[in-house]
Amino acid sequence: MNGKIYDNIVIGAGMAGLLNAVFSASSGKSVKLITAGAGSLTIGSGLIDLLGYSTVGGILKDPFDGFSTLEAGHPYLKCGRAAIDKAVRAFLDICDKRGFPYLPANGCRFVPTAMGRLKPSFLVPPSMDMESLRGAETVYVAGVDGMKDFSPEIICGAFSSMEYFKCKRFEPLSVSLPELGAAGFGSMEAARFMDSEEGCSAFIDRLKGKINTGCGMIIPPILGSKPGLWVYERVKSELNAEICESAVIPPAVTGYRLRSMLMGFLGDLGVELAENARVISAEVKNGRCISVSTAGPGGVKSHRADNFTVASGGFYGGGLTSAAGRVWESVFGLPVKTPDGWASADFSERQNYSGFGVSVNDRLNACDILGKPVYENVYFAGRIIAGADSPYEHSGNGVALATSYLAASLL
Amino acid sequence: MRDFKGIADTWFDVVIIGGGVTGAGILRDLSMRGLKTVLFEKSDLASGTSSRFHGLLHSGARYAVTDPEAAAECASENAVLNRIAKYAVEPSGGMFVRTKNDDRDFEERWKEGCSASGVFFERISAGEAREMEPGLTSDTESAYLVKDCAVDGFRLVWQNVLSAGFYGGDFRTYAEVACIEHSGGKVTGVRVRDAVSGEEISVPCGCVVNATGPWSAHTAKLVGAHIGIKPDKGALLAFNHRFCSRVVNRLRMPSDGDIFVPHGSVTIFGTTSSDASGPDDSQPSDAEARYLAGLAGEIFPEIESHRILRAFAGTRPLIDLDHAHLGRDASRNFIITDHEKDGLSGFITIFGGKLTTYRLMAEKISDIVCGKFFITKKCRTAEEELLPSMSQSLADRAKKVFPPSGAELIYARLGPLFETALKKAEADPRRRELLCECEFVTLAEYETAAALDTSVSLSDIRRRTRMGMGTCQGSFCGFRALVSVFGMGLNRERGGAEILLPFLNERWKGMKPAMWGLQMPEAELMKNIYSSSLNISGGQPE
Amino acid sequence: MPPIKKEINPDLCTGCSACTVSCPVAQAAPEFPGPKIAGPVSERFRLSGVAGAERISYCSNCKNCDIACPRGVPVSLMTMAALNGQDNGIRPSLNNLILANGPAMARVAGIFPHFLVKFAMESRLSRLILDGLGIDKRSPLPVFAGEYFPDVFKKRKKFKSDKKVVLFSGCFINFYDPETGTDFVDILEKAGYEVILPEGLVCCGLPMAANGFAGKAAKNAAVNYGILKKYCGEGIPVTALCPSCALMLTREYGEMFPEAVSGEPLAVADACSFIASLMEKGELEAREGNIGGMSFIYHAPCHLRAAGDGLPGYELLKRLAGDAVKNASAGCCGIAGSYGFKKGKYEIGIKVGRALFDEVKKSGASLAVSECGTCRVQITGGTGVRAAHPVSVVKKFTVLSGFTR
Repeated sequence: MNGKIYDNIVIGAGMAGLLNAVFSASSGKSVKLITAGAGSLTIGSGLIDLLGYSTVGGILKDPFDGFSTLEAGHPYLKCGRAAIDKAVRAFLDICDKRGFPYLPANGCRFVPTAMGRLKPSFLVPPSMDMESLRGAETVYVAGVDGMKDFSPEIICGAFSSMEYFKCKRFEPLSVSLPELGAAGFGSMEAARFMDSEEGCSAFIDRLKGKINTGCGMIIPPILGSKPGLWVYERVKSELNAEICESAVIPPAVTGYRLRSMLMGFLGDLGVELAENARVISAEVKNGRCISVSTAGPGGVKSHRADNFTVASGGFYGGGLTSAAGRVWESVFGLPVKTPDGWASADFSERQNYSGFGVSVNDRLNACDILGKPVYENVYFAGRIIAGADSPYEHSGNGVALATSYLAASLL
Repeated sequence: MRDFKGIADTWFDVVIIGGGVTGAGILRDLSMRGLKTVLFEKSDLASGTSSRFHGLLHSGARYAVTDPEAAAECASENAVLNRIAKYAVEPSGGMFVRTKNDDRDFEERWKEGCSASGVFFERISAGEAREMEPGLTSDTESAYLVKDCAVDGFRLVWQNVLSAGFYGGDFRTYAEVACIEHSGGKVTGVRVRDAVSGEEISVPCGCVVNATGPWSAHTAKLVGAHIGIKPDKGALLAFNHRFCSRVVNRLRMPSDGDIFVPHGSVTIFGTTSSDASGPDDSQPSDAEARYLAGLAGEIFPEIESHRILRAFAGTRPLIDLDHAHLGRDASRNFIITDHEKDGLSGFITIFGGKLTTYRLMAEKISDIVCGKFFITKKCRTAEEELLPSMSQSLADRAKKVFPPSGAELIYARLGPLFETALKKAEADPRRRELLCECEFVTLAEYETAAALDTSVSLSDIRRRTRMGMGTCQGSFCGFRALVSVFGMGLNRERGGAEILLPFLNERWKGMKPAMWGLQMPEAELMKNIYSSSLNISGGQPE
Repeated sequence: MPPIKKEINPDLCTGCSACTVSCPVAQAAPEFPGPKIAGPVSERFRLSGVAGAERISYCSNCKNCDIACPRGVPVSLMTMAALNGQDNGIRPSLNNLILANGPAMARVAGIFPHFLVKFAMESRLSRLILDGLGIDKRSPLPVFAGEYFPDVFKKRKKFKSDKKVVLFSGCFINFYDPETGTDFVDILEKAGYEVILPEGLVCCGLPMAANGFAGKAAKNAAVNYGILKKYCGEGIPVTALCPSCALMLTREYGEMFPEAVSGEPLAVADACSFIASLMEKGELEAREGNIGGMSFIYHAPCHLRAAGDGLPGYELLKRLAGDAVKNASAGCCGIAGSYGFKKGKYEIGIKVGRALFDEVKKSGASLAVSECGTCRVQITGGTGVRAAHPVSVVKKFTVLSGFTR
């Protein structure tokens, strides 16, 4: 029924889908974004890891140092260094333009996690950069009384015993924000409270006098739920301390901020958004996709476009479906190669299934064994692409950034 | 209990080795009859076979054809447990279903067997069966109602041990019996190693009962005795929700994958029978999980739309006296061996049997043990409830701080410790919050269990509370549990990852064999939370 | 033990909390355990005969949980089904009875002259009486229009055509807002369509289901389904002005009352989506009219977003009014059908709607536009800015030309 032919229909509103929609709409394309669900940015940290661990072991100082060890077929090798550099610049530009600047990166940046670990990331907002605490001898790890899922003691205990921090002193601290209730709230509720003038001042007032000037602080991600740095800047300057938010278990305030920023941008760019819409099938003809269909109250609806970008995620996002011994891509039903042993017996180890996905060529089209594209106007971006074990190598969101940028530039 | 020094060189009439349901049942029985008894478990209570089964409290119907004696025992013990263990037993009822692919003749033999053994059954039409259980296959041809129930192995063991405690029965967990001391053909005591600290103590005693199930042969070897036992592995699947209202059995010659047991918030399906490499062989293979899932689909065709939470396995202590009987054909009946015949008096082994008849087994062996001490007191375990009903005053107080339905759940899980949790919740509203959302475990309940000295690891707390056993398999509550451990100061010099990783690995162990379909999104989420977001196993930069 | 309902399967849920993050009620009311716990988490317990979480009646059924869920878990459906459950000890209260039966109350009021009804609904005395019954006296109850839309429609000059379209006008249009109904019929007739308002249609049932009267809703579902299925079968398109009605008639009938609506689900097009399709087919041409310096702020009703078909009304307005229309993108208005009228929920509704109210006021727009009737009431109540359905904007501010043969 809908006759409009878009330049690009994007499937999925995770990091890859949102970025691809933003990149393609910014270059003047008419874009429709179809999504089932809010995307994984609501539960992930919103940090852009590029490559944190080399596949031959060890934390990387610079992600690009690890590129030579990437296995053939890794999405980064399809993209190439030049496209990745351009994608990084484009992302930072967007962040600047929308008033939520991320730090330019020259090598990995480290973010403290609620587990008392350092997470090697690449593009991070200033409020999460551990480097800012470099000069501080005393670092307070401050939790909020009664808040779920954050323990200053876990972080203090772990960091105090790290050689890396041998010159620092970590001290647990507790801030009381009874306005949030005695318990039952998490970092999201606290961050929403901090959005308000009242919340922000309360937090600052309760900390004043408890900490030394010039100290560092590690806190849960509570510096406002909205994209922007004003809560961070204000708390930092009024307390005269360096502050670093940590990565925590979902829900993730920091990812939510990035999502809100990108969603706002999409609206301004005139991207049409169909939420709660699951693509159930695609119409293909002569090696091209003509339309995809969603089922809604008005019946099955087809959406036509010249190009389609599939950023539907992995198993969690719904881009991949599986049955015992078999995995396929959910929209086009493309087969997915599955070596034996999907998972390792050790939770911490590499997991084969993490790399399951659609095999693509260097134009990000799904391709057959000879590298011949299956549908030349269908591009894949993000987790759906095979070949990256992102939890293990810490390339989450980095693959999404690189591939969503490349896919948009190929339109 | 974990206090080893307090019992060092203290005399006990009887030492029981093995903290499964058999050992716990014997502890209770002997204590009630006045013998000073202690139980040693090398790991945590109910961490072996007693929790690694389908959770079926047999009505006897399953053994009607193959083992009439066992069938009759099950029928009467089922009634007893319904009476004494209402906080561990769910009186769900059961159903036997024959599909068009199953042998018709067996149905007739089964009915005769049930009648002969006094096992209740009632015929219903296939249509009625499918109305009662809408997910049942349309291949259902005939169906019968029976008195099967679901039973929680964890709770049953704990409630036995706690009830024994009321009569002076003592126990230690992570207490490995390293050596059974004897002189002049008589048992004189045991040496027990604290598996956490490695320290050893001596406990003098007059009698040792070996109730270590599939480990019985290993235990007997401590005194050089031989036990004819064959550990047999049974694999099972746990599904994320209840898709049947009562136990559903396949009416055919007992075989692989013919029992579904709805259990609390989940459904357990099993089982298989294969040679175990040893009593610790509790990891099902990926192939076993797939095989079982296929069998489940024969009775509930929409099984693919149901998520498997995990696959697990237990080892059965099957009797292998003359090596002639193997696997499922071996008798489910139990055997008591008094090693006096081997020249060692005061050492008795019990093995075989099944969870449903644990109490009867305990009674039988307790009779023998009591005989040795010239105690004539009769067994009373069938008369007295394991856990008395919650008092009205407790219920009234609980209503104010726990959700109305939650109070009963917590009482069933904690038993006599319920009031401790209640007081925590009363004193501090924060303790009323849920720690484990999937299994409704409040912080008060969690902390009560965590504070026990038997809680050495997060998995021990899990067994007491069901924390981490639901939908998220620890993805969320695992971290929350860790936060709580630190908050209570129970971390004792250990780092967060050191405490949490073993727990996650244990959860992963069960998820891994069933990793497909609706399990995959959860696995991906869990891995991303702990590896991507938290970098749990990460090292430090140079 | 309650029997197992086959339709509700909580297994799609991973427990990831995306729904809870997006729940406007959980943000405004900490008493509410959130959709994850109220829905799929409790569902596993409800299946075992243990009542799930308490306070699930805080759910407003706005469906932002469904929109946020990446796995397609029918979160709101589970909560609604539980609210309607017989075994959970929750009995609907009197205020729910009144709100569930809005249409019946309106019908009673309809027999009195318009000004009397208006007086009665707006008088302090009658609001106090309603307050006593659980309808918050501060809530912006809509005013009965005095004339029932189907009666208005009947009085219209008959327009006959081979091209036919069925209109499910819905209770809000029928009782409170017949003008919007008339605007839509004008547009459809301009495009050469004969509008059919079938006799016998009743309330879609959503207010009943959302207030714990699923039995009643099921009866309505059977009636409406029976009537509309006939037209669908004949290939006559069905449209609805209210997104909530449309969602109920289609997706939710099948999910909630599978026994009442056997067969294919109904296809019900959103009014604006239908207008857009007429323009694409060349049956209707709409050019930007003289909007006289007006500006519009658009609010997307949650139930429209939940329908999975984007925002056809907003896209239509953008085509016709260009930059003069802006999408508020500020989330739920807080009314959620009848939720924001209830005592004890009114404050929550206002709190939820605050971001939207701020956005509407900040925009300086002269008119707020939204497809949902109660959203419009809430926006006007919260901001003082008048509100209209997009079809009224299309009708009033654009030049339409039909291509009737």
